[in-house]
Amino acid sequence: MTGWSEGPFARVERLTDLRLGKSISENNGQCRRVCVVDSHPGWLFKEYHSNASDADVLRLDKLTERPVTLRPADRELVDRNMSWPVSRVTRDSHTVGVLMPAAPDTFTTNLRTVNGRTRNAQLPIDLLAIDDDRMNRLGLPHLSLIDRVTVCSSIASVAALFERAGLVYLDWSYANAFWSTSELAAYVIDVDGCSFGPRLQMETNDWADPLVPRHSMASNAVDRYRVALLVARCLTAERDRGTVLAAVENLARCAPMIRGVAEHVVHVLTASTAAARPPLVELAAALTYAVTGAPEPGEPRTIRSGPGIKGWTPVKPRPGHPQTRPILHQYPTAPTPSMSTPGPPPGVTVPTAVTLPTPTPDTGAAHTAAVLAGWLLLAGLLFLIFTVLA
Amino acid sequence: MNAPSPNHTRMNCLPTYILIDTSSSMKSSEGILNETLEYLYDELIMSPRISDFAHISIISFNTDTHVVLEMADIQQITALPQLECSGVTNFTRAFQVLHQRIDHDVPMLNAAGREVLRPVAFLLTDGQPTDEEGRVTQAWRDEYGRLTDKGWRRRPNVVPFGFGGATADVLHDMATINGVAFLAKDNGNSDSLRKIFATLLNTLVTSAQENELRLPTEVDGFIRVSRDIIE
Repeated sequence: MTGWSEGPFARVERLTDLRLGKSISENNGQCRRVCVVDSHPGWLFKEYHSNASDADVLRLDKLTERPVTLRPADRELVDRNMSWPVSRVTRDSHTVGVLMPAAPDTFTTNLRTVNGRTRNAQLPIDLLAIDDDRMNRLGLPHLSLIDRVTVCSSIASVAALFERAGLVYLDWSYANAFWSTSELAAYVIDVDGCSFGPRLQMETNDWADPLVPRHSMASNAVDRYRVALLVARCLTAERDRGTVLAAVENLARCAPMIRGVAEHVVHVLTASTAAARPPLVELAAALTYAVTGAPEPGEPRTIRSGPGIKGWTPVKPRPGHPQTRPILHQYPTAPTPSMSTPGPPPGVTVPTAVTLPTPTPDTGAAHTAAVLAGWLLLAGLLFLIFTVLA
Repeated sequence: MNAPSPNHTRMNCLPTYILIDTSSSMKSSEGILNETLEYLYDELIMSPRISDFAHISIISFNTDTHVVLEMADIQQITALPQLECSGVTNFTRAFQVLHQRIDHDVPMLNAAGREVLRPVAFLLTDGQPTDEEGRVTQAWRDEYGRLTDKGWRRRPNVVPFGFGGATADVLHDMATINGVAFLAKDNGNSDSLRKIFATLLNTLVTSAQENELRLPTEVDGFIRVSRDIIE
């Protein structure tokens, strides 16, 4: 596996010391080109359109070093699911790009072309947010809902790591992650754009955050919105923002195991202020729970950072705690989001409200108290009647 | 304050027309033409994010004009047209049909909930405009004037690509944006069509990312045709 931990480079490399190979992408977004590094298979050089500013140089140095201080599980996630930059590359003392790992081969697949041939290509998350019929036409395997949830869980874990590490990514879209049909995992690219703290809002068609104006500074709140939207689209295969919420709610009605995920997504996408959006770790936990019936190991439900806290110790769920509920695979089979996904039964009106049913709390003690109170009330009434009659 | 709707931002879409000269002079490129159409289709079908944004219609023209691919959702297309080259290069009819199609397609996209950007028409030709008898003519200018009339709200941006017998003067006059017309160097060759389609695809990829039409400033193997470029 090629990942940040295996990086064979110094934190700063000179362009002239690298033997570069063919370009795999040109004039795409913020970069002039991305090309393979022939001298180090599995590694890519990304060249920017213009020299990096002093601020960007500092940011890149901090970013390439950041995994050192991550906990081991997070570093493993970095290595497995992210193209995290390992080096800043200079030419004549100017920073012109970065070195980063290429996505492993498991994130490529054979796609069927119109003439029946196949083409080996990386599989963008774009091709997860489509229904079964369209997947079938491209020769992709049938996905169950749990398969989709598993890939989304991988995306959310990466997003939560960014937030935990104090990074703002923003660049969530159909193009910036790949997924694997065999591992049901996601691989996030363009990590070199991450900032420590708010950064300028990015314009990506159909991903704009309605609560954050264009050309303003954006924080993790925008990440929360875009990741929730991405997860909603990938789970339901509904790409239209006007109908994706209803699709999520409908799916949750048909497949109760994603209820927690749906609640989170709906909450984020309909929050009246950006600050009201819950942290990404909660989405990651909801997705993990939907897949395994247990929360992400060692993941706090809510981030509380600050001086005096250096990490988190996982605790085992208590017997009877909701986290010990049966794992998902024991639930009835859930419908997959396809053109043939069943709607509600005839005569059932689909509510448009965003509130989803919440679990009923344990009422045993309350029931006993209510019965006792009833008997006392009855005795009091009888005493009063006898007193009046007497 | 009411909670925002996630459809607060309607998605933009770009009506994209590819006008292909299928006159008899294109006969030798017929195979490559059909092959590159397949390539374009595959790229779009494998990149829904692009086809969400760019809605494509293909119009072939020679003596007459045919809408070979209507502006339907590309995901719904079950067969691709196999183009056949014959006849003359009648631009007048091509511009008429383009005008009609824009008037049909833009309201359709809008009714489907999209914010519709100004259409773009990529024009691929290897010859000079002729009348129905094959005589070189200037008659196309009237129809082109109606198509690009500033009083018509839906007027398209026209981006011409020429090779073979196409001339710089005509390409320049067909471009709605000065300097955004391209003529193959040394008349071009069979590779010119491939380069045009690759450029066209890159244009759509970039435009989809930027949420607006982004046109190339240079194309490998082509020269930019502009009145401002004198040498």
